[in-house]
Amino acid sequence: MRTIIFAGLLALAPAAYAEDTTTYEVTLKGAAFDITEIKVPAGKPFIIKMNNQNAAPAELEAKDMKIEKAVAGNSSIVVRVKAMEPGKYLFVDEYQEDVAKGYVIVE
Amino acid sequence: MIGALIIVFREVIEAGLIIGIVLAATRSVVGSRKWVGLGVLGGIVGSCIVAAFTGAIAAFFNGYGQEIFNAGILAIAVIMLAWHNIWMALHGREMAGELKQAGNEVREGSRTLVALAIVVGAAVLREGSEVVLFLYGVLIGGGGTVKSIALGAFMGLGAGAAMSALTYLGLLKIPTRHIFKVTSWLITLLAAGMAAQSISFLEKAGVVEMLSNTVWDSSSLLSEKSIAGRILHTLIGYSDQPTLLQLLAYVATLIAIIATTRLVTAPKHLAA
Repeated sequence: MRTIIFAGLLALAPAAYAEDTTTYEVTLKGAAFDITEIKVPAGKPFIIKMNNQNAAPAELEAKDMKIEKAVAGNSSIVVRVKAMEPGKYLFVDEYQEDVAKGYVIVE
Repeated sequence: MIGALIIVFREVIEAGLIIGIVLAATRSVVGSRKWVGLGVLGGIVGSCIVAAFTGAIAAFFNGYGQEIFNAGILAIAVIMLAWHNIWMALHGREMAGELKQAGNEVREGSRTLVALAIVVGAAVLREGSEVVLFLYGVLIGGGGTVKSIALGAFMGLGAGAAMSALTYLGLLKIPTRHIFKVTSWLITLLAAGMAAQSISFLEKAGVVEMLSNTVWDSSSLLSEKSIAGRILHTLIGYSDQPTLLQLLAYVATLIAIIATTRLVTAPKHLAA
């Protein structure tokens, strides 16, 4: 039963992707992101695309935005973020979280 | 070193708790440790495979392959936990009553052990692949800090194993006549929490968007990402910002397992 529901949900996937959401791009190179402040309007869901230009894998993490996603070396990922309240939200490469960080500024 | 310790420990908390609970829940079933061990081993091998294919998995489903993969793994674990609980409710009493021959116990017990081995393997696999990626990154990054990071990582793994041991030994302190009930409840809550988490991954992938309003926000009170938050998240499915759909999945799983357990045990109860 659960499997059937699950399969059904998967079938819905393409429809759900069709929506129009702004994508913000950020690139990790070495121990830093190229952009350390991403400005995003409040109350609207958005997508962050992270490019990892290092050979080593990374993990994009942002506790408040509920992001936790591994990124293979020299590749990219996308993450969906729900509509946020105005504020400043930290994102990091978890594997080097002391140095590789940036903020999403929702206003 | 401390950084690596924390990263690895954060990732292994969930698996550590689950292994401890499963060991306690099956302590009287012959061969349970072997199966749990196989689950851990399978999870580690799986972690390496998943880590190696991280890029490929990410590319599926318009870039949301990892989320769909995690949702699927969790859904499987929920079914396995539910099956174990229902099976134990059905046969646990007979086994506890020593009415069966030892041989029967081994055979029948091992069926549900496979389910729990899968649960353990799934738990290790989900977080383990991130540990593997982290360690791989350290290795190819080179530099003089490799040794100290590797040491930290092993200490993190050790801390996770200690967590398993503490959970297991803590549960064993419960008097024998109550432990079956306690572990059944723990497994039911574990399953409900995993069902909610599976939904959260589907939401992150954009597969489901209905009932997506946040029911409460207790992140300032107890963050889901803090150590205590992670432990509660695993044990009872605590979420600091659950959506309505996650809450419904949680309650539905709870009710489904409890109702089915009651249903399968009721006739036996009357007969006895």
